[in-house]
Amino acid sequence: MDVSIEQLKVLLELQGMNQVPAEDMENIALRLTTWLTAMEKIEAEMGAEINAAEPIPPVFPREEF
Amino acid sequence: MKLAVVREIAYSDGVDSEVAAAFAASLDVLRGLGAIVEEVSLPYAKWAVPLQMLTTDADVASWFLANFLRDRYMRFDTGTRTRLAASALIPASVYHRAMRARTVVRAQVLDAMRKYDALLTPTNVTPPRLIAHAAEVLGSSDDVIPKLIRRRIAHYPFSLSNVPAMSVPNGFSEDGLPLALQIASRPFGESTVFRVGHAYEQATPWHTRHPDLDKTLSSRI
Repeated sequence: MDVSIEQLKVLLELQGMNQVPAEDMENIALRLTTWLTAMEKIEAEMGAEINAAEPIPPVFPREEF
Repeated sequence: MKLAVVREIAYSDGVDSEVAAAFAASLDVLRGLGAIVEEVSLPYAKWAVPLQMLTTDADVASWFLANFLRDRYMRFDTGTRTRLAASALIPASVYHRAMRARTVVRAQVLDAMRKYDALLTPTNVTPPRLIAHAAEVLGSSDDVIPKLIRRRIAHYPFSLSNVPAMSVPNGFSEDGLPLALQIASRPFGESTVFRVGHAYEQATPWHTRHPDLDKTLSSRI
């Protein structure tokens, strides 16, 4: 998923981040694109296992170890 | 003690030759101390960096968004503020899918921990950069692997899995920068991590070499 600068501006506005300068836009778009694209690949490889996983938080106080 | 090298991290194409040589020498030291050293495969470890960014970073960013990002954005350095801004924009549906995916990756790590007392990797797959060159500013998509992924690929599988890990010095690059061996174990396995790290340090001199801080500080002035 490629996040365009125009899409990014809308997202930033929705979150109330109105102080982001133009010179940061490409950097932020690149990061967001990277992580969302990675998630698409993760879904493609692990989607069935993700569906079967419990949505538990990353704290496991009573496990076997 | 039964140890295993994580194949996808320790022997991937992106591992620097100096790091690989120091790591191989570390394995010889551990074998010499009586450890059994085998290999283990963690195919999902490659997803640890994006999953950590999509979950933990989003969590952290939500706090900063509520307190600083909206009205004090420019007070952060470029790398920090752009990282936080991107993480603050992760959709909730993606966050929750990534949280589920974390448990899948973690299960694979824990499966390995059931077979071995500890897992081994280089702490970083490339030698460290000087602070002056380490700013995490992305100029193009070519920066993604070296600046976002590679610097974290060895440790995030374990931080994502909520297991203890230790980094001990295992050599120096030709430029005199420190290299390190990472030792990770199962949940609440800190004592195992310390035992392996301590045994390794008793058999090697690397932890006794300290930087010349006077020289370092004077060179910056």
